[in-house]
Amino acid sequence: MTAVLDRPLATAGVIRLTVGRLLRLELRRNAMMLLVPLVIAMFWFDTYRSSMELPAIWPTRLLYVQQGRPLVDFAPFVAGAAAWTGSRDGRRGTAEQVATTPLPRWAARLSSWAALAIWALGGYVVCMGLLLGATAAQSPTGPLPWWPVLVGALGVLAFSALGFTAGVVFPSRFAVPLVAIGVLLILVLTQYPITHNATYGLLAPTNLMGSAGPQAGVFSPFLPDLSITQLVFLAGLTVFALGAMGLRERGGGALATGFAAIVTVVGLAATGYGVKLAGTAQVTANGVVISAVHAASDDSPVTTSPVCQGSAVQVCVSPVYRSYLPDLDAALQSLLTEVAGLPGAPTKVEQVVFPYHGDAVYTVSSLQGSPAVLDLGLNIGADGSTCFVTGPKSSTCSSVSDLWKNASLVKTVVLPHTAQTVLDSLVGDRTEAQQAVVDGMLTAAGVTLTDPTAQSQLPPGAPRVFNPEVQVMGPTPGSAVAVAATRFAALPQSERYAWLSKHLSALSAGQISTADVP
Amino acid sequence: MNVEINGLVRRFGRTEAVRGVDLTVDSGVFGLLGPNGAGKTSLFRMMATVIPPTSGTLRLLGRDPGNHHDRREIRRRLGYLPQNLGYYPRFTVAEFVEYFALLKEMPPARVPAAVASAVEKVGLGDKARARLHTLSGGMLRRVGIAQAIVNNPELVLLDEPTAGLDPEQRVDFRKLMREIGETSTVVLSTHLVEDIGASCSRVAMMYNGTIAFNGTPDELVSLGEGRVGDAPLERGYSAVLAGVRA
Repeated sequence: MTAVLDRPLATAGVIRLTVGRLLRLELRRNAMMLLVPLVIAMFWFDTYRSSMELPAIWPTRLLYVQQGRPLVDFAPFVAGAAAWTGSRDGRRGTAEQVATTPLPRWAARLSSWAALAIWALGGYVVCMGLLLGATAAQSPTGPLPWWPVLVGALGVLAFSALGFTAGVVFPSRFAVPLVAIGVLLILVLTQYPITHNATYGLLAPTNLMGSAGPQAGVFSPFLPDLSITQLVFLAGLTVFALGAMGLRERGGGALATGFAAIVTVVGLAATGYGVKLAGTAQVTANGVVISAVHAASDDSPVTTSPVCQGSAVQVCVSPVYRSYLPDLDAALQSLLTEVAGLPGAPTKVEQVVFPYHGDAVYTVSSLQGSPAVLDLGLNIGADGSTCFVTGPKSSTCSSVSDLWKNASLVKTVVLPHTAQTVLDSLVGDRTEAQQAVVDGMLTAAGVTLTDPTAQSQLPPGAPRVFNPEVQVMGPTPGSAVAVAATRFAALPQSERYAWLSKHLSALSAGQISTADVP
Repeated sequence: MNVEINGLVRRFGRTEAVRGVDLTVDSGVFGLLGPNGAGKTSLFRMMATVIPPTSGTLRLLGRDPGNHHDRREIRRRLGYLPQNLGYYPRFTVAEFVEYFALLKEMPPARVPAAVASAVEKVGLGDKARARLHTLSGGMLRRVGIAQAIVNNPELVLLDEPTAGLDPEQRVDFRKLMREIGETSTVVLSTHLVEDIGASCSRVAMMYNGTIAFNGTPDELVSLGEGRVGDAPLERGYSAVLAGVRA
């Protein structure tokens, strides 16, 4: 007989070397290798282009990453390729040949999966590297939210393991389209229909509710609670899928079966723990809080010195949004000059966190305290688009983020909304005189009032554009309010201010008529 | 004895494919003949440790394949070419053979030389870097033989190994079998009696799940004396079949 007889049974070291060589071989011939350019193209077309539209502020630029968009780009391809690789022996008729070899089939399959996972993860790293690198080149501000990036990476691994095991269990050519379409459906379904499930639905990395928003980590620390829970859940799924694959292998011996059983149970336990954690989730203004993994230090707000500018009233923003300050100040000073020093007028404008809901709202503002401070939330980098109603059956939509690319639009967007908040609080809008003064001051501050009759005078089919976020409805032309408003707006600013200083309390109390308005 | 079979039975549901086979095989090239449905492939699959027997005893290379540790040892010393070779189309010849060398737990350091040797032995040295999907059916058969012998096995099971090979390749293959048979046990399952005559020292014939003949090729030839047929072995083959059918 040959020397083969004298060879000792393969030790763990030899198996490691063998698996290493198999991995190298599989890396050269893995189906995912061919798909990497495709997923990179998908990422570029979808996540990259959309993200680069957003301002170069880390949490804003990574908004879509927080929402799991890269996973939507990757997972169907990765899971499909994994199912293809996992079903290889069944499809290619090699099952019997490999069944006569001594290396535990699980080990060989793990090397196939590992090769696929390396390619998939490599593609993900390249894509995220492109996005992060391109953003870094634009001198971004703000904290970089790493957690969602890690969740995406583990999501890629989890879907590769699930797809691979599905391919092993159902070694059919139909496994690939079924798995790919199934994964796509899962991701889309978890993104929208159960978006408002604020507990178990949050386990899905694509759930919009779980996104910390475009200002994550700016005003309060980024809460990693949900990301940690998702990581536990996804890691559990990965381990469970790989363990279940090992359990399915026949002839591996009691030791291999026992080990696979332990791995499966560990994976199942981690998955279950992730589900349990998600069940305790609470969506708060600062993000998702999961008490079991929550750090108390994350409850304190981020302490930064705001940057301020302004002549009549100081306008202050977080240093993260420093670049918007000149435009914001320029847009608001015309209003602030009109009201500065009046009783109840804001003495300072402070940027506060925008209550992000993924809605197409640009700004929120409120007057707080005494002396009053105007709290201004700016939806810088909101996603999606906003739709303007242009008729009974028509509308036109434009990207919200576009508004922040054009400095002049800051005035168009922020000023009308803020001016209404300030003037309604200061003057009121119950009486015609109050409405006339407010309209006159809005006009003087540079807000264009929309003619309510113009909408009805438009010929049939002509677009009707009105959005209360950016447009303020003016008085009916020729009415007493309109006449008084025009008269008041035409006054020199010093005269308007002097009259308001003297009559503001009477005006607020409704004791002044339109005829009394100068 | 490298293969010891006693009262081996294999059932698939109500069908009894192998019915109490007794067989011993030592070093050299052993031929297994029989008509379609005789139970050859079922016997082969049990010998290849793909399926367990329903009853009876089977010992391969002095070990019990029913025992996990022994089965693993047997598989490390086994070369198997199934009737329908499966392959990964995008692998090259060398990669495919290397893949099986690694699955057979060959020490990784010895794999490259073993792969080169196996590929050369089947005459595919110049095709080592060719993708499998570019090869002809005969070449793929040779790749299958290469993966079966890459680990220098002590027990080689080849199911229809010469199917698809041209006459020159068959001659080369028989020579290779004789070489391997000098140090190992080679069991051939074939329909081509020329393969048996040219390379086997012993031959068995299966019919209806049992061994109908077990002896040397010369003994099989002698059974066919006086009968009509193209070749002496075919006459012997026909005689055995006629005997068991009678």
